[in-house]
This record gives sequence, C-alpha cells and structure tokens, in this order.
Amino acid sequence: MNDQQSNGEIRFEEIMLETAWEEVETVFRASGQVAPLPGFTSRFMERLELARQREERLQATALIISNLVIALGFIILISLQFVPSISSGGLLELWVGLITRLVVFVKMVSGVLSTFFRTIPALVPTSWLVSGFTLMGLVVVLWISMVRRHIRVQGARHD
Amino acid sequence: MHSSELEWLNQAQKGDDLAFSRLVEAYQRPVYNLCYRMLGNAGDAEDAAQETFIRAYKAIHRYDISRKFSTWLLSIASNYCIDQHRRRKLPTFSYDEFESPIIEDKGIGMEARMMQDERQAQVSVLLENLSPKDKAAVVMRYWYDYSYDEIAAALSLSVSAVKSRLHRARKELAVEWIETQSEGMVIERKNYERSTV
Repeated sequence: MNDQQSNGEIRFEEIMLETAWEEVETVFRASGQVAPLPGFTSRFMERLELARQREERLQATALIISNLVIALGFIILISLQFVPSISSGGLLELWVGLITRLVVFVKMVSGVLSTFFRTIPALVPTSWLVSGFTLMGLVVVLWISMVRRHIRVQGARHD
Repeated sequence: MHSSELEWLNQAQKGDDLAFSRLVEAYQRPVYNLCYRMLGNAGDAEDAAQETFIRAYKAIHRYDISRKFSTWLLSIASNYCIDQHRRRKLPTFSYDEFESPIIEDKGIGMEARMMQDERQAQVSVLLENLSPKDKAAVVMRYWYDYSYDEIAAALSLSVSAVKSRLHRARKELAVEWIETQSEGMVIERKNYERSTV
C-alpha cells in the first residue's frame, strides 16, 4: 500500500514537472529573439577601428622597445670591446681607462676627418664636389619629405 | 547558408571589411539574443555581442568554411559570456531593474508590448539560476532549434554531456516555474483577501 502511495506521489511529481516544463517552453518560444539597438553595425565598425588603432599603438611601442633593447645591447657590446678584462680591483681605474680610450678614439676619428676634408679639394675637382653635395642635399630633402608624409598619413589614420 | 553569405565569408576572409559588416548585419540578432539571455541585461549583452564580432573578425581567416557559420559565431559568443561570468560577479537580476530590450515583432500594441515585457522578465528570472553553459545550451536548443550535435560542437562538449545538461536544466527550470507560480498565487490570494476585508 505504501509502495503504491509513494509510486503515485512520484508519478504526480513527474506530471507536475512535465506540465511546468511545457509551460516554460511555451514562455521561451513566445518570448522571441531580442535585438540590439539600431546602428549596431556602425557601432561595431567604430569599435573595430579603435581596436585596430590600439593594436597599431601596441605594435609601435613594441618596435620602439625592441629597438631600444637592441641599441642597448650594441652599446654594451661595443663598450665591452674597450674593456679588456674586468678586474675586481678598481672600478675607478676601469672607468678612467675606458674614458681615456674613448677620448683617444674620438681624437683619432676627428683627425682622420679633418685630414680628409683638407686634402679632398686637391684630389677632386670643385665641380665634382659641388655636384656631389647637391646630390646629397637632394637625397636628404627627399628623405625628409618622405618621413613627413609618412607621419602625416599616420596622424590622419589616428584622427 | 545562402550563396550571398558564402560570398561575404570568402570576401571577409580576404580582408574585405564591407563583406564582414554584412555578416554583422545578418547575425547581430542571434548573437545579441544569446548574449542577452546569458548575461541578463542589455548593456552587457551589447558589449558581449560587439566583442564576439571583433573576435570573429580577428579569427575569420581560421574559420573553416565547411562548418556552419552561425554555430562558429555562437560558440565565440557563448565562450565570451562564460568568461564574463567567471571574471566578474554579475549583478543579480530583479524585475524592477528590468531593462526592456527590442523585441522582434514590430507594430505590436501597448497591451501586447506589456505582455512581451512580462514574458522577457519571466524568462530572465528563470534563466538566472542556471550555470552559464546550461544557459547557452538552453538558448541554442529552444531559441535556435539547434540539434544536440550542433550544441555539442558550439560548446565543446560531448553529445551525451549536452543531453544530460539539458535534462538537468529542464528539471531546474520546471521547479523554478512551479515555485514562482505558487508565490504569485499566494500574493494574489493575499491581495484578494485584503480587498475583500
């Protein structure tokens, strides 16, 4: 008798749940699809542009940082050329030696350059020199205008 | 999939923004609806739907054209909404805070509109206590009539896992429905008793 009663209760519960679920399903289906506010696509395009700009900025920052790291690496490498061995004895001695070598190096380079500029008029005709400097000037002007144009394009894209 | 959609997909994979914007236009409603049902409010749903399309745009070159595009898109949307649930505790929904979204049917009367609003509120209350994955499965099944296989593919689950999740969700929803209905009846009875005294 008890078994029959509990079976009946279980069956009643199942029917209740089934009926409730049918009602829920009806509500779900009747509720339809909700739509975003008008202009969703244009808002998306704006967001996409912002995401692109953010990505470009990130890439530019990454490029600058990597360039700085590479430059720093090169400076360290070049500096190591001037340091024959690092002794634990005197850091001051090391720095003095390094600066002395740098001064000697700069003096040597400036000497070579001044000799070059003093002797070149005698070796190369003046017309060649003038045309050479004109060509160099034109290349520099071209380079500057290209850089300016590139900066303007980047600015316009960011605006 | 329509031939024009296939064309847009091909063009979008080649980097054509206009073609992708057409896909956005075509799929904004199902994506937004899924996000709205999963997150419970219009602001978060808009944000999630936009983010879904941004992610789709970035990954469009990896999209396998033999796969159903809507399934792929809804898979991105549901994963994003599940992540949002995990990351932040979402504000709990209440009827008073209910922000009425735009309903599909246009030109409906005031009374019908109110009934629709009430239905939307009922749906949100019912879905609120389900787990995010169960919500996604329920929406795909009962709003988009997705097969178990499609739901499994979209949610990276096995078919049997989808079946058991849906079975559990149906039971939870039925219990929730009975409870809300009986609460409503008690309130109505109290109101009636007050009015007769």
